[in-house]
Amino acid sequence: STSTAYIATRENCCILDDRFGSFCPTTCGIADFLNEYYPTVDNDLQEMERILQRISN
Amino acid sequence: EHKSQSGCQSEKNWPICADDDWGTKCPSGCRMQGVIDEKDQEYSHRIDKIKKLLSDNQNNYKK
Repeated sequence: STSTAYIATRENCCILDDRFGSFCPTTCGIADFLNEYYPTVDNDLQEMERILQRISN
Repeated sequence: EHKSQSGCQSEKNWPICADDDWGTKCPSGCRMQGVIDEKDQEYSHRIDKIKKLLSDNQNNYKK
């Protein structure tokens, strides 16, 4: 990911209202991200674990 | 801080969520942080194991 924060503007956020402060992802968005991230990492780790198991045997 | 048990119970009588609720109703941030911390711990544990196996096997191979 990038180091610069994604800042809401009139162009990219049609419900922008400065009175409500800065915008953050919802926890639904966080859960959706994790639902993609976790299976990917799990797969990668499982594969390495399987290969290492075979090598050490 | 924890509320009294009776207070918690009456506030848990929400209807079961529909698929359409996703996006407008979301999990608690505390709960998400808990999941993230737990998974992070599990993954670092597994990664450490892999690292150890790798270096152990590397040493065996050199001998």
